[in-house]
Amino acid sequence: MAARIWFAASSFAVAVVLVLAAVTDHSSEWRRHQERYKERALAKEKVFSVRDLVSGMALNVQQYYLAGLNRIDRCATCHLGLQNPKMADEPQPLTTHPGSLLESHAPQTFGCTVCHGGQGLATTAAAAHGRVPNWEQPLRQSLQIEASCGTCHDGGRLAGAEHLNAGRVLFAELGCVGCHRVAGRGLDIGPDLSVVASKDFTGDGRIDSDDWQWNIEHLLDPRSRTPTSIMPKFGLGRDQATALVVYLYSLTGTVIPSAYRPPRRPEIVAATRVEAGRRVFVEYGCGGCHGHHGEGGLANPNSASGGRVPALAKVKEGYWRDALIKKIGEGVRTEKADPAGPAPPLNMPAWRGHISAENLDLLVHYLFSLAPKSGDDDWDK
Amino acid sequence: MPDAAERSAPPGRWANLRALPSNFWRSLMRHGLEGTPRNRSLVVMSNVFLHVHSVHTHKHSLRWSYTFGLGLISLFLFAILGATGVILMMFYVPSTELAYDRIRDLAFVVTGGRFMRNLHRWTAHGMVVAVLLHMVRVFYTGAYKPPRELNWVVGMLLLVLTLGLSFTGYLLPWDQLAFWAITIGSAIAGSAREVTDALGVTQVLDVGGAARALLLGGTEIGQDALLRFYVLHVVILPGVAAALLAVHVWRIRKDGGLSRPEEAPPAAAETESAGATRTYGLMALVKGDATREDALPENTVLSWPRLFIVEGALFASVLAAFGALSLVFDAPLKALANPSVPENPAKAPWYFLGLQELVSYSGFAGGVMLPGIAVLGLMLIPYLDREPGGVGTWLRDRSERREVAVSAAAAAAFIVGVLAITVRYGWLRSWFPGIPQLVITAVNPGTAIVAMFAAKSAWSVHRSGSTRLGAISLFTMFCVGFVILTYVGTFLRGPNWGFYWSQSDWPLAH
Amino acid sequence: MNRLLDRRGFFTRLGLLGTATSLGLAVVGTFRFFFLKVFYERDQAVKVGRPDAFPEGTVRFFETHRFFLYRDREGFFAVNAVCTHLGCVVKRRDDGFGCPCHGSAFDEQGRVVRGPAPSPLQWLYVAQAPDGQLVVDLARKVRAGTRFAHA
Repeated sequence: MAARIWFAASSFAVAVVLVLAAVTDHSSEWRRHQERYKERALAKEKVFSVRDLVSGMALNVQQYYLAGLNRIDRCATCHLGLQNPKMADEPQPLTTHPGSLLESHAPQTFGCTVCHGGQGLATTAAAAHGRVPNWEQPLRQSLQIEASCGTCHDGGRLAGAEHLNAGRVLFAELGCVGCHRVAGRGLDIGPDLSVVASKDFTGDGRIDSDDWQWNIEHLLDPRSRTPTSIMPKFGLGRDQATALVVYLYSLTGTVIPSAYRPPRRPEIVAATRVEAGRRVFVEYGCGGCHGHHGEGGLANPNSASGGRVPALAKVKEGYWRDALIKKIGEGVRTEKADPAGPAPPLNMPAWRGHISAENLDLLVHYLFSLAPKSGDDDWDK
Repeated sequence: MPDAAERSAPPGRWANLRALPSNFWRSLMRHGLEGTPRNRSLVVMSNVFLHVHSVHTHKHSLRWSYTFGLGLISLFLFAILGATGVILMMFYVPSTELAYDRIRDLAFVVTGGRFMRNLHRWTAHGMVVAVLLHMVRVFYTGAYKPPRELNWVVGMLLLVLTLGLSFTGYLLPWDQLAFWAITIGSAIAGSAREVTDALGVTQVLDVGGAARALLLGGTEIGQDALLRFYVLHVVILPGVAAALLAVHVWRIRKDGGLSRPEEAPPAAAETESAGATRTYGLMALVKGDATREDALPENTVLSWPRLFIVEGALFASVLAAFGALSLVFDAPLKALANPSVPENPAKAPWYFLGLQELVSYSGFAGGVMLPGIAVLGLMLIPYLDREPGGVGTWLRDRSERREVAVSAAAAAAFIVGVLAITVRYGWLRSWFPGIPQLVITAVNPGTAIVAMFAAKSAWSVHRSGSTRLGAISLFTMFCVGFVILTYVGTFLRGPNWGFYWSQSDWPLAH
Repeated sequence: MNRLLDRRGFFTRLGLLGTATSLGLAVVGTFRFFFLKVFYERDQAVKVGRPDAFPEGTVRFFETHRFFLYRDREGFFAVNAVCTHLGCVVKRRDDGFGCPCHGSAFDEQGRVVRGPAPSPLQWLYVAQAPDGQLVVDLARKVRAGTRFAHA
């Protein structure tokens, strides 16, 4: 008898578990949002055909299937109103996407996560926005979204993305590629920055605002975050550091298919050889060590040149042009001031193979132009 | 050609159709439904699924406190794993690009997917527990004794297969947990290099490297490793396990049903030499007496319906319990696998953490040699202990119970002592930095513990002259060692495999 | 019993021998099947760049290929960052390397200082390719202390 009671009870327990499994699966949060969307959208809509469309909408997961980008974004499962202008005054998640950006970036083509980050596959707010453990890339906030623009718009100025533009210019002017490689360009003295936005700097298993903040502080004073860093302290203001980080966070390593790339604009041709040489100087990051305008001055302890990276203003006095080209090509090992002391951390790298002969020639033109004007021996004219 | 009159049957042309339901029913149920002993026997005998059971079940075998149903529970869990596994296969893709997303997607777009994955995960853990406990039950009730030696060996193989199935399944989600557990697991497979390197023969005979390459299909864990683990997990291991399970269950019947104490010899001169005669006797009874209305074999009941109701209830209970577990707890899933950032600490599944503790002293000794010795030693138990009697009861007398207590205490004291020394003072290399690796492989806390086990059980045999007591000593110490080492590996080891009393003591940055 | 085989026994045994032979060959052949002629993996010889890119005193960690490249007064050398114990990736510390998985510690030369690692970290073969680039071969180990002296 006891066995039969047990049999009856346990078999109904299985039934209860199965029903509960079905109920928990059905009672998803997006269902509530979709019901509410229908209710609000119908209340605001007068046009019959649109009302018909909305009321006929089945409650189900909505997704943008982005074959070109190799991703699936299900954000519209909750954010149903993002392309409905009438929902502008509704609270999240039903509200309209602000601005006019979606006109040029249709979510059916671009999806959401290319700009906003987060987890496109998820159908719960917590998982989608990255507030769950072991989801390394949470939703991007404010300036981080501007950084996303730079992932595709990776050349020239982009209207409306002023932080990104400023950061990109700073990145070039500070000569970061003198030490860091980005997408194949630059040297390997510091770490490669090609996928810097996908790195976990704080070591907490997430790539979030903490890492963003870490990078700002690191740029302001590298040794405050990495005590052994040989990266110079550039004396940036917080705005500049922030702008640089906006640019750095556009470097996600995401491969953007050519169909998604913005059209390229023609290069601006420099007017004079000296000006072209200046561009070479900037492009190859010489200023990273020698100063923005070759005035020198980065600390290089125990180097024979007075403990600093030498200035370039007087190269014209010290070298013939061929000798200077040779020297840049071969690099210089910095001499020690005190032979018993430690080796100076910074050496002039060998640039042969990195800079074309033509650009090297232009560069020397620019370097010679830095000499104090005496006006007598300008043989270049 | 027969004419129309001949072809049409007398009762009319609709008769066959009318009789179809009852004819079909009769072809399905070839016996009456009244609960006569004859019918109740035929239910079992004429059904391909039920006839694995004997028509009569011994009352002793139905005693709950004897088996706790552990063998059946293991079998049921295997069945649930098979069913949920096949369903999960419909969505899973064994590709490093897609696997992780597909596992995540189970929770997002597959109706009931989260429940299904949880059920698969938790029953897998449950099966490891059930199988281990089943082994403990079989040992302490002496059920490995003749004629059941071979079934004990088959059972050990099934234990190894169960662990293998769990381990291969561990890699499939392709998350950090999986990747680093498999890194360690595959390195253990390759740890024979530790010895060949020390002997300087790796160039000629690279056993470890070959084992690793066989498992991974490469030198690193990548797409090919995932594919191989997948094929092992869904085809090879379940196939072998199912075949061995069939042997395992069939042997229970052939060996005379579940083990039980020898009965006081009945009046008939039936039992002269213990096992074999009894078996044949029972088989004869099943066939010969099944149709007799009144006479049941000694101390048995008809299996139908009593046994099947209990089995059904047990299955439903297992399913309900693990289903409830799956409703409440989600199977773990860490971040996507990243080969350049190790998990710290990188831990294998819990049932391997005892091994991982041993491995932290020496890869080869802890990962290959000692587990090999342990499995081999366990398999040999029925051939080393040939002492008759003591079958069918949990520890027959005081001396056996005393042996369990003494061995457990001795093993616990020794293991805790060795671990304390290791944690506090380090091991040979801390004392003699230049010591050759072969010495460490041979003499480390793991081998010391196993040597102590062997010595203690040999001493038990020597002192009492009883191989059963020696076996009890060895098995008890094995169990204690498994529990303590697993506990240490699970709860007391933190980042860098350092020793921490609690997880709250773990350093924050790593 | 008759010691000589009768004809039936002879052919039965011959058949069994044939079966055993073909089974053995099938097993060996199938076993070999699992070892690819070349693995689906990236090249084990890695070009890391021109020697000039690494001034004296450089220590660089190559994350994807998991090794450290050093340049000291005597030349270049590369140390495999894969722990010889169970394959975790070691991290560089002030006094050498440490493994996060089972606490093995190595000195600057890769020698085992502490923990279960059975052998020192491997030194890898470093050479200069015809195009002038440095090559580190992950599949080729060299004796500890071997350096590639760059003129």
